[in-house]
Amino acid sequence: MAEQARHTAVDLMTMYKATFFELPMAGTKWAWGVGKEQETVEAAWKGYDAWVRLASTAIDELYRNSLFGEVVVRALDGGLRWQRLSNAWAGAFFGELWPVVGLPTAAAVQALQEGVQSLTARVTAQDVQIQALRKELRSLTADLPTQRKRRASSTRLNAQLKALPAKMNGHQTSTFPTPAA
Amino acid sequence: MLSLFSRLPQYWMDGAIRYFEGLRNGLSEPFPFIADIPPTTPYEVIHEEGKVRLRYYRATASAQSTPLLVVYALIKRPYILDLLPGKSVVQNLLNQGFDVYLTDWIPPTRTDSWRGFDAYVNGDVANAVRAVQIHAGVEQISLLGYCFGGLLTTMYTALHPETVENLITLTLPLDMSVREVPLFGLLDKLRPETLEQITATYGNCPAWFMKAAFTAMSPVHHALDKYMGLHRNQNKEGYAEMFTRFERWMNSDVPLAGQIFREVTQDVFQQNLLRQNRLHVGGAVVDLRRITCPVLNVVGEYDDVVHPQSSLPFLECVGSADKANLLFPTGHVGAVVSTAAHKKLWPQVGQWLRERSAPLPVLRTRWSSDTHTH
Repeated sequence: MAEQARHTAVDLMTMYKATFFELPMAGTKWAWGVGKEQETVEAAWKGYDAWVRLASTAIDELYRNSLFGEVVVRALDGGLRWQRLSNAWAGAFFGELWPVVGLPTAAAVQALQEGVQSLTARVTAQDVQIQALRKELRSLTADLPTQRKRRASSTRLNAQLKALPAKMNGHQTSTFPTPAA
Repeated sequence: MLSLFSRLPQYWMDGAIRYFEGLRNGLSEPFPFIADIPPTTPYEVIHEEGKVRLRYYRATASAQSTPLLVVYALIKRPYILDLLPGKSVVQNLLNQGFDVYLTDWIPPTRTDSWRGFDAYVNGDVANAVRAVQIHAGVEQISLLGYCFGGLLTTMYTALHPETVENLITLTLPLDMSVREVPLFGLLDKLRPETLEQITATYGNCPAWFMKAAFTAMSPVHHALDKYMGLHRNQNKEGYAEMFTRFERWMNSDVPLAGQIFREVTQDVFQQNLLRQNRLHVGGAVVDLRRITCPVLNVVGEYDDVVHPQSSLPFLECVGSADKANLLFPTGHVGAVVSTAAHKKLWPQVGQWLRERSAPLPVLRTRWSSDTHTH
């Protein structure tokens, strides 16, 4: 506790000094062209940081205050009671109305929403997977040696040529027939 | 300096728009306020049951034999663990050779208000573990629980120790007699009737209530200081993108199922039953001494959500012979997103896991309908 009080005192002093001495001084010097803008900005941030620490400490102290806790919890209790009352009132008057006019109930909409959310999550996951696979496929295709492609095509040509010995000895008058599948 | 004063109202307006859009959806339903960001790391959903969707991330380096199941908290969305390249816990672990499975909790609706620790621990976590066992073809797995997820993994390991090879807890809120977090003074005042009022009105603990609780932990920071931080670091490379994504996560609150909200507030938080080995889940006592596997307890030295003194006593409670606390100079979320954590903390966690994982077999066969051995 003593440590915390010491920190608070230091922060208070820092903020006071920065706001009332360092910042006006640096600002005046900067305005007269003697000082730098950087000094003014640094003084302002120093004061601001001390203020943030002080404000946070004050709020923490408020949370530790028993009376504040009581007030907040009672306000929450009251608010929740009103919310329940309004829910009950709306349910009593309008609950049966929606199906009559052909509108879905809140529960039906909620169930649908849940279903859509689940589907969206699945689709997103699959989409990411597809993108990753595409990327992998692209990199694999890029790595394929061009030589292998050439070799494959020449093998195919060789096979076609072997199937046509007679024509090869002739005068190449006909075009290559489509190889049998 | 002028740009700061022109931007600040813009940030506040963006925040107000998010709130009102949430309210327009209805007080009890706005979850999450905004959609998830596109995932950084591709994954596959391998299991969905109850309120859990299990994601599988394939290891990029040579795989370790023991898969790792990361159990995320029931609060906010899990993409904080895969936020950006280079700031992703998932990627960090994958690069170290671990097959990672991550729980993506499906936000509860009003019909799920009955769900308590029993449904989540003995139901969803247990099923997720089974799904990992089947998918990876192993009998035991490593578990990593973050914050609330740490509570779930701790309870699961105490109740089903035979399936867990290693347990890692990250910022575990265990000893609730520690009252260093100022907001706890306020939460202490919540009476059982108030909790009943909340769940009677909304079914669950609504997302806006969770958000309000987190904002109340440091209101000056959330209202002003974080925007000042953005202004001061606007020239720092990557800061703005990180800020945008982080803000989006901060607004990704989801409701907490009614029963588990009552149980965690009363039994764990107010009465500290878990620490005293007196918590009952599904009719069984959660006795932390039944945890005998190797345990690594990662604690954030500057954690302002879960005080370090609340996590550190965990090792005194477990029955393990091989156990260690890893105190790292970081905050609650910094443990998963900070550059320092990714450079120093997660490699240490990986090293610890590697040393305790069974060696990779020569041939590993994944279980399928026609393969029952491995």
